Amino acid sequence: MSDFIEKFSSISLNDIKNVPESDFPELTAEEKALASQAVTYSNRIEDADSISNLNDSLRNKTFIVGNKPSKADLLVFEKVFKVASKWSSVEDVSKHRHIIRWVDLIQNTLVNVPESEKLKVSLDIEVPREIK
Amino acid sequence: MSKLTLAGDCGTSLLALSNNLKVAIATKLYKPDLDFQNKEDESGLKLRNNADGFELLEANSIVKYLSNDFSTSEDLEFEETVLFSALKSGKKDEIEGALKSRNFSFGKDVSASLIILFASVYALFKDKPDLLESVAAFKQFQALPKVQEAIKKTLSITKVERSLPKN
Repeated sequence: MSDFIEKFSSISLNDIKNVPESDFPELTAEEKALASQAVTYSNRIEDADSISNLNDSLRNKTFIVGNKPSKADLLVFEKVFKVASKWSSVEDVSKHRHIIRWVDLIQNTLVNVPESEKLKVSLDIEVPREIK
Repeated sequence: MSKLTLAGDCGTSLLALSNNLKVAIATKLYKPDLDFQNKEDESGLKLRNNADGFELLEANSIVKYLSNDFSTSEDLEFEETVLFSALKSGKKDEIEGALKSRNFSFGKDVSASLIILFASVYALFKDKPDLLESVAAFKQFQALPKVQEAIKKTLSITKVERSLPKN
């Protein structure tokens, strides 16, 4: 999958809707369902349960559907990025750690975010150990 | 899909009613051998493939997966934002006007979109059949025997408790 990332020209936030799904690897029915689930959660960005579910769904995944990028990564990023940028307290970082890790990946691979606007990930912050 | 199991939403809210109705209709129409129950040992709605551990927890994606219809639409976005908020908060009176004035764009065939929209509108307004039947597609869909069976099953396993609308 690193070959795909190397060849993919990162796009701006404003162009996300115009990117065709065919630019990404083909998805199985299961992957399409996971993509749909994440997009639905991101459509409910103001609902704490939905954000919590999105965070949990990313616990064991690099990208939204697993180990391959998809259009869903862009669509969810579009909805989540600004909200995630406001998470700075230990509590917020702890609660949303998997989303923050994923946002950092997407802003450095698929989406071209100006350096000054990027989500700042503090590696020094001490968050409580996750209880699964 | 042979190793699929499905646990229903054990909640007592309008959202739980909507979630259970969505998956009840989808299973009746597309996977009739897949029964689902509210299990006390399960935390909530969950479709799981025991063969590979694949899981879905969200009702709309379960409907899409079972129907193999992953199309998106403005109607679905309306359901996932406006109707979802009303289901969660219990403030259904505020969206009655929006619902009456909305022109849904359903096709001739049953789709994931129709199942999802119908289930949410039914959960919100089952006590106002005139409102539900004012949308022709809902009226026709509700009359299907399998949909009737799904409604009956959903109402038998989901006990909605009255609660004050949340701000």
